[in-house]
Amino acid sequence: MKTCLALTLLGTALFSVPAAFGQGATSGIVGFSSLSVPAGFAFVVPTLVNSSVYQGQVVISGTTITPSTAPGWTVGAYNTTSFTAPIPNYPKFYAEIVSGPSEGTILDISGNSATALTLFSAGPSGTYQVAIREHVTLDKIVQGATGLSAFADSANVFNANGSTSTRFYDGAGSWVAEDFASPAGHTVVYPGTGFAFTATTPVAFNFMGEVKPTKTKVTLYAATTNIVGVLNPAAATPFYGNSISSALTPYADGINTFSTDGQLTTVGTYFSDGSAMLDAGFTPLVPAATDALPLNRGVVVSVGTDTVWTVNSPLAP
Amino acid sequence: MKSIFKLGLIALASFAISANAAVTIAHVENVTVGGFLKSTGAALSAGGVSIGYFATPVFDSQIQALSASTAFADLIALGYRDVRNASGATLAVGHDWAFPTISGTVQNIPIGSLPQGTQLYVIAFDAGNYVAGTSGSPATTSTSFAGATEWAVVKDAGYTGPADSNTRSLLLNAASGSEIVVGTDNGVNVNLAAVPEPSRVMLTVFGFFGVLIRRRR
Repeated sequence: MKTCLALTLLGTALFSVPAAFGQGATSGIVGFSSLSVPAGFAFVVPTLVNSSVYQGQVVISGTTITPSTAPGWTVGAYNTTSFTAPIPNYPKFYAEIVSGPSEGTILDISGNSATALTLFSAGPSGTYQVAIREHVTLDKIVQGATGLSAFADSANVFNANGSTSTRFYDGAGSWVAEDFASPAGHTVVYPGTGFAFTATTPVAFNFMGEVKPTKTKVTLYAATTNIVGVLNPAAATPFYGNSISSALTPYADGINTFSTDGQLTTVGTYFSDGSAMLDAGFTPLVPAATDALPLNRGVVVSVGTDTVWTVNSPLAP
Repeated sequence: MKSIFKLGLIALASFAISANAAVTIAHVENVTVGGFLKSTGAALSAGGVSIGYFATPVFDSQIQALSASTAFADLIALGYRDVRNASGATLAVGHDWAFPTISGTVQNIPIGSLPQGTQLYVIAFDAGNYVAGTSGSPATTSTSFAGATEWAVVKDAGYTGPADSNTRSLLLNAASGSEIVVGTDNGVNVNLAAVPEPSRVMLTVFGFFGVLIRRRR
């Protein structure tokens, strides 16, 4: 893992100016975070998000979001992609509740008029502060990356229903789907989630974006492989005291961490007793434990029933 | 020509995505999630737990026909493999599947050995230890749990091999009814089944009938 000077500065910034990002700012700390992976296999969980393009008070009713003050949006600006089959389509933008008990709830946008957003599925009804951000995609992730091999390096994205989407780097800054023809660089990588990456030669990723200033609700699905992580681009995040302990079914749900040598050997297993994190021997971790969710790599979380992990912002841990 | 190129890419990709697939299996016993107890309901102070699977399907009746004293060797003969014996499997720090304290995790079990969805069994014995034997050679573990007089076998519907890179924690409080193949349901706990030892009176009766049968002949 290579931490560059810029990231060090970013890390310093994270702890020196925390307040400004919980107060409705639409632009926050922007920087980059690096990840070097050897030839072989790695899990990749980007820790930065795209800057918000809108933030304000809205009313959510069913699948409609209506701002309290006219936003003056361009019609269709937040529409989903509209490729012709068999090219897969994805939402391009999401609205996120940024305060209150529902903070971190992510709502995919299917389209918009000049005055309202339409969602893929209904959100929690009520009045909220929301931010609109463009999704991080596979294309965004390989911007600034080096060492990628065309049609050999791949990303396995594990979907909520248990299916897997495989994407191959096309050698030209984008990705294709399993058929090696359909463009798929617009495949979404949701905040706090990642994918399994296969590298034929060493690859260096340089993630760019904004440090997420608010909480993130990451859904952990029983039916799939949940590659997830925290959104801290500066450092690994200790398991001790982490909010994931309250998302797991005590003693049953588990977390695996993996080697970074390209082999993905399991090197750590963790559980929860409902409040504290436990190690592989089911012993509670102590405050000084160095066990951590790795930077930009994430972990695999196994759950028996779908649950939600509310990930704290590194700016408000 | 284009399709040949495409096939070449697929072949290349097939090689590229053959991930180092492995899974993790865990088991803990405590008052919250339950544990194994002697047939009398008393706590176990010796013996241990084995978690594994059968290489070929077996009927519950085949397992129930076994006797605790030879059960582990007989299970091995039926195709049983303890997950600790899988080539590449590693015991996480703190692993302890021996009574009285049961808590531990086995990592890096190749998914080729334990495919997703494979039925797992949690088996307990009241004496002896697990003999590690030679990795990848189940027969070398067959002397495990020597001297056992009680045992239990649990196969909850949720005890299945997890997906690649995932963990499955097998808890006893999940099992009930017919999922307890050998042993008895005791709330969150499972009591081991004792192999009935013939009493002195029964031996006398058997002997008496034996003599009668010989005399008639």
